[in-house]
Amino acid sequence: MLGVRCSVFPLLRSWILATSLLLSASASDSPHWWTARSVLDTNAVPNDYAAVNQGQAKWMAAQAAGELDRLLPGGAGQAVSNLLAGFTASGNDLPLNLGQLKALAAPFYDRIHAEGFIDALPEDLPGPYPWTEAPSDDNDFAIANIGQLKRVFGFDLDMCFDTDNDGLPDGIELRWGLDIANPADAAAPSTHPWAHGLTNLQVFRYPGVLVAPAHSTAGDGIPDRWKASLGLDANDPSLAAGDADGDGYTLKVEYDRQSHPGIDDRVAFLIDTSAFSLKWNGFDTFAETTPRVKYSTLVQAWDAAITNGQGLDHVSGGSTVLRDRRTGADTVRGWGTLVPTPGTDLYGGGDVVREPTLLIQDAAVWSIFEWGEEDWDGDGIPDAEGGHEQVDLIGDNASTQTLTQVYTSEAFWQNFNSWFPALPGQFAVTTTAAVDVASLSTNVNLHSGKKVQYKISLDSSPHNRFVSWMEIFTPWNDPATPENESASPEYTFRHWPDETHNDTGQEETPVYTIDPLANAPLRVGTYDLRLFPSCEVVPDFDRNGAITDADRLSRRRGNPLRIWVNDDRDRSDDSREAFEDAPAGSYEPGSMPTDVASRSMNFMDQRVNGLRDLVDFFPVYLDFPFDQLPPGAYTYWLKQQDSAVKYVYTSLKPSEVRGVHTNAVYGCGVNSDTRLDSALSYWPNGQAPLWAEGPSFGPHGPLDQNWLAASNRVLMIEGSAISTNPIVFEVRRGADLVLSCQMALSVSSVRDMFRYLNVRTNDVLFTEPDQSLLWTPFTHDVAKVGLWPTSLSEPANLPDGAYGEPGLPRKTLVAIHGVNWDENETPAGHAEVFKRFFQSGSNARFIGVSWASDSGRRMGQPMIYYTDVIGAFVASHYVKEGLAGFWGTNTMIFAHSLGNVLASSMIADHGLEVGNYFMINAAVPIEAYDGVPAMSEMMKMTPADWRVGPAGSEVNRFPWISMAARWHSQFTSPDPRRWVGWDDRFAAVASGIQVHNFYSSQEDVLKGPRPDGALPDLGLALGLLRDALNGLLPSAWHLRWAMNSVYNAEQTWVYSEMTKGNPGRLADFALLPHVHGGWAFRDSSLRDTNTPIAGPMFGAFEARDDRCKLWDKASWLYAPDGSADVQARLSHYPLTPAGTDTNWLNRIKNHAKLLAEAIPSLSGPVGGSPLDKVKNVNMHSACRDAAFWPARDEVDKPNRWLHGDYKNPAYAYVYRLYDQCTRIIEGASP
Amino acid sequence: MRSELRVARVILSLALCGVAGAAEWRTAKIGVRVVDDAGQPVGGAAIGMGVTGSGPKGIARGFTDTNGLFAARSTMVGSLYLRAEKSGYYLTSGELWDGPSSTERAPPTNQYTVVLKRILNPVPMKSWRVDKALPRFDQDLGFDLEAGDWVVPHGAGQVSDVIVRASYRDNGARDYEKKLTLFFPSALDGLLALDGPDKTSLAVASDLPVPQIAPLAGYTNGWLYTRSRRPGEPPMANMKEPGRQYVFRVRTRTNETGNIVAANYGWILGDFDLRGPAIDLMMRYYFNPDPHSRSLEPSKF
Repeated sequence: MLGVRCSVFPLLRSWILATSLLLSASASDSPHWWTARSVLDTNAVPNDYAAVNQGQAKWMAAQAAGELDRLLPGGAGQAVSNLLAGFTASGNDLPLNLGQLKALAAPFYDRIHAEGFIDALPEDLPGPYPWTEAPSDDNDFAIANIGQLKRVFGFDLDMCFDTDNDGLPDGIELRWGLDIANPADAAAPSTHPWAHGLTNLQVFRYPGVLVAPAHSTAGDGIPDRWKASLGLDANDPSLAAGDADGDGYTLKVEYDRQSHPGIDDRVAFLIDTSAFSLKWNGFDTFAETTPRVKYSTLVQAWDAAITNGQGLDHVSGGSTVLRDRRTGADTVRGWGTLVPTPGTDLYGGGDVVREPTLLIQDAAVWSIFEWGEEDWDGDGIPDAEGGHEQVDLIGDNASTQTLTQVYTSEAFWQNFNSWFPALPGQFAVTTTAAVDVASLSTNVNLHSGKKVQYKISLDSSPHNRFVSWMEIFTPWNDPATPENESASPEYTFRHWPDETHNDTGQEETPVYTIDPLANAPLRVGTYDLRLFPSCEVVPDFDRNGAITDADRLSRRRGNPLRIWVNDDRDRSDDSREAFEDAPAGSYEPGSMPTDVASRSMNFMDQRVNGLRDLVDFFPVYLDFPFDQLPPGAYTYWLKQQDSAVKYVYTSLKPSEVRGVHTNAVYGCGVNSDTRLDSALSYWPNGQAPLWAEGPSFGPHGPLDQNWLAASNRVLMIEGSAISTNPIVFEVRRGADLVLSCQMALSVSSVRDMFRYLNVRTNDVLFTEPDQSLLWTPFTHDVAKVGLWPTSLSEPANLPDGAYGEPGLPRKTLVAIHGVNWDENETPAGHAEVFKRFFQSGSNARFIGVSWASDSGRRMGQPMIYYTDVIGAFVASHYVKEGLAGFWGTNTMIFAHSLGNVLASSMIADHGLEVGNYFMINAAVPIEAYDGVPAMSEMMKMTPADWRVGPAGSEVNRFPWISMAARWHSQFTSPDPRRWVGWDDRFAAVASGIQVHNFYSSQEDVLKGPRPDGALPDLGLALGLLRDALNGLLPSAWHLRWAMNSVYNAEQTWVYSEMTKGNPGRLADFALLPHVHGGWAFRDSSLRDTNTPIAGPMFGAFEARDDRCKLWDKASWLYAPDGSADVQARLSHYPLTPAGTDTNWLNRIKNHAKLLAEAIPSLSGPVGGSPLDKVKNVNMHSACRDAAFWPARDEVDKPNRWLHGDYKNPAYAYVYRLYDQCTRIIEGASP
Repeated sequence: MRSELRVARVILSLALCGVAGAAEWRTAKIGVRVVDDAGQPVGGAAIGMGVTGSGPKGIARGFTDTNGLFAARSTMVGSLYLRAEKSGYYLTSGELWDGPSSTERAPPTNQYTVVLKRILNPVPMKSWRVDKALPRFDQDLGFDLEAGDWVVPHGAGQVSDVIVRASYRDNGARDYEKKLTLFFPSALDGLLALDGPDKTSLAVASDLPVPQIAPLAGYTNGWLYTRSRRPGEPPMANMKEPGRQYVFRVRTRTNETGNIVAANYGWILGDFDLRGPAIDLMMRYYFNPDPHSRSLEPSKF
């Protein structure tokens, strides 16, 4: 047992370290008394696993006793006091075992239980104490650790009090720094960054909101945050299926469509007969979905209704004209006043009753005000009282939500039924001639989940501007043919209420007429009225693979579908030709290979051009009940004024359009018999030529009837011209327009949908040729900007607020390409990656970074990519600067291949802060992140001459320090030579940011070293390249082929590392690793102020020079003389510009030049291997498990995820990579 | 602007053997003998072989004869890939030879034996790709292999097929110790480790890397995986990397005499990898829900 006299405590207390993050979920912070009583030191590094000593335990116990004294009636009690009295000063450094801990804590718990302060105890206790009762699992002699002490003494008596009665226990208020005497702070907004305007009380009740923005405690897919913001109980799992407002939408559905769960979203709102005025914000593009208003003839002072969102003609008391000063266009917003005469019987007398009923399509955008209240633009001039007022549309985004009176749909339907009292449910036709139907059935077949809108077509009479046209009926209980009751319908009738005023403004009793079709005479019988949902053209705005109510909502708000022109030249399912993805105008004419340039741009021909082309297609759903209408009676048209889209028939359902980007899709085309990737694509209105002048309306090119009848009406569209005019869908009977609707559209070049940073020409000096490595008189090409210079302003066709959840921080994705991309290939590459992220549903701002990674190629040395490594280090400074303002924890980097040197240098050397860093097939040595690997690994990268020992357990033959790769280890910071080595070069990368290493265990270019450590023979590739560069290949095409074969060879990276320092020339390359492993590096062009270094940096060696065995003579870099030269020319670390040193950039280049050309890696590349402490994703598994992978020949590395496979195979093969990155970006999974 | 080429002369042909330079590749005749998992030769198996990077001329396709033999000749300018398939067998494919090097101009052997596994009795199996963080350290956590999730309250699983316990001492990127213990509630449950190639690596492997029928003996009940690092040293781990599969047996029920009357079998692809920022349970596995079947062949991969 423990024994210490109390007076010794102040000398012996020790600090207990702050809570680690390991153990608990969101809201279990440390009890406040730990900090108030100095038990906890929040500045120290947490170490819950460290053993706790008796002194710490006694201090904790003493403070705990103080808490009990303070808050329990009767204080800590006799048992605890006895315990404390028994403490002695000795043994404070001794460890504490579990038995002692339990004995120490038990009296406290007994006391708390005795007073009944159960709320103070930690959660999840197995019994009265925080340990199990059964002795069988005890290990009382085990050493206790700090975490266990904290757990046991984790009770908090303040949790039993709520001094200010505000619902927040004092314990919580103290932890959060609130005032326990102030009741108002419970309702104050929480300062937690994720609380999003929730109050402290809500955050306390629903701790799930602190876990993640999308966290759902109930596991029902509805974030706690959303529920809490609506005052719902986020911890209650039964809410998701509930329907508080009774509109048929469960809470989950209400969340998905972002409507209010307490507001009835269904069709109709029956307005009370007391005086009111109503106002709505009808949008221009609403077309058919604009609500209709019916009103009684007995109501006075009511006039206009709205038709198709067009202008109101009547102004007396009924409309407000809103003028958009930007465009000069006027839109009329309707409002009306209904003041029924008191005592009037609105239902009586054979009249067709029109109740003041407003059918509201979208509750969120409508307002109902009491009479006299409205002043729409808030300028003090009332909108009502018969005048109309010019209101500026700018800034007038009226979307108010307060409905003062809402009636449930049930009430509406009850009233609706009573409007037509004569024939409940049915009406009779008693003659086969044209029939005036005064009252109609009310068996409403309300399509669930859809808004209903109905319109009555009126009889044609000279003064009535509506055309009478009729539909055919579905027979119901036809007494003449009882056997036909379940037969397919002969007739269907469609009926919409509409305006009931004629041209002269007189109100008129509508007469509903049914005209028989010529070939389908009306039959005597009883018929049913059906109401059809309205027509809509809906795209997949959020690109989540399904066309849902959320997309409908977005369309109704007038949001345009933003797409790009399909102006690239995809051809197949799998391609390594970068120029196939080049947007128009992004490349110098002549730079595109002729075989690609000779193809037309994808939108111009008549087909979908392979699986790769599908990334340029977007689904659009025609929501209209085609199957309920008679075939042949109507024609359906898709139109676009500028021929800016083409469409493809599919048999996809709107809930499953995701299949386009995850698999091959069958059943497409007019006859539903073609694969989507080769189906025909049509211009709307038929095969209109590309250069048609003006809008092409006309009775040709309707949508195929059979397809409409048989399919589910999803079309895939591609952009074919720049336009902001809508897609229009029309239903016509003959030449007459029956019904139409629109979808707002915005097509632009893909360039106008993302940002671009171009640093190619920021610094050309480092690309001057290294004379010792040239062998033929190639001219040296200077880097060029190309046709896409930097553009960082908001993209015109994808504004930053266009998608994504408002209120959440905007995310940014910076894409950095790899090695050997010139200024004409980079727009193509970035456009393709942008498109894939866009289709994966990413709402992050996309920035493509173009840096000069082709300097090797421009110098005629594509094989030696060392110059490009230098380029990556130099460019990292310019990229970090160039994107200032975009960095931060909401920015992600997506870097491929050598781009990872650039990105890692930005983070490690220039202190860049980002949120997530996605490494894709990274061409960086493993040791840069993980440190020096095991000896057996290093031997695989070491030249044979440097190895001794039996195969499989070889060791280094010479002292370590004699290796170029280890030269840096003899220096210490701040000597800049300490950093001229790959070992730990980017160690800073993994800490503080989330790094994801997307690698492939079956990489080709980044294939790891051979198990026997031999130098790979690049064989054909090298031979061809050698001939090319010696001028032995007949054409530039052959040169390209040769270079492609180099970059498509396997183990190119390992080869480059193992042959570093070879003093020979490419033409002389023997298939041997250089025996000096970097030491023979020779350069005369390190940059410096005025005096470039003359002569070689390293000693010149012959091959297999035995002198290297004597390491102190291996290079005069070791000797004091000469090393000062190097040191003076190198950069400090980190590589940031400092002070008044105007040559800091040259220092960076010198540092990079040594690293790139002289210091070999002793480990394999990251792109083919997992790393130690970051999240690794083996992309090869994705292609293996998917069983949907391009078919490649036996000579083309089949069934492997290769170096460029994030981009070369069609998106549908590799979508998982983009999906995973997008989910991480959006915060859905850590 | 492209660099100018000095076109000194036109190359006569770009055939492989015509390329100038010091490289001399060997042409080799490669023989393949295909047998099934019972050792019987398989005739009529479709073979595709190719030398990477050699163009269409480097592809050889054909069928094995009645003795299961097939041979082809090519210049060995790259690695040698093989694909063997026949209806009724699982596809076997991979790299026979990893290409020429400074020490090897041609494959060390001319004769390869390739095994095609017969398709015996595929059954519906649940397939899971699990990547779940450990909800707690230093605590026994049950994992339900059929549900692919932790047992309640940490997940939706019901039955603790395997108990997982992990501990993580993290002192930074270069100083840590991770331990993952797996043990099985019943003495007869456990894992059986098989070392052999699978499709994660390049080596020739069958699509089914485990036997068609789960063995009856050899299951070990408890397993410990560690990964640790000390400053200045490379990481040390006891995992076997790709090249290991496990067959597991869980929910074993015996009769009075101790014979097994029912058990659920399955297999796990790869070993347990403790890399990463924390400890995750990452498994790719198949679970046979039929307790009276020992088949390990998924009807749908």
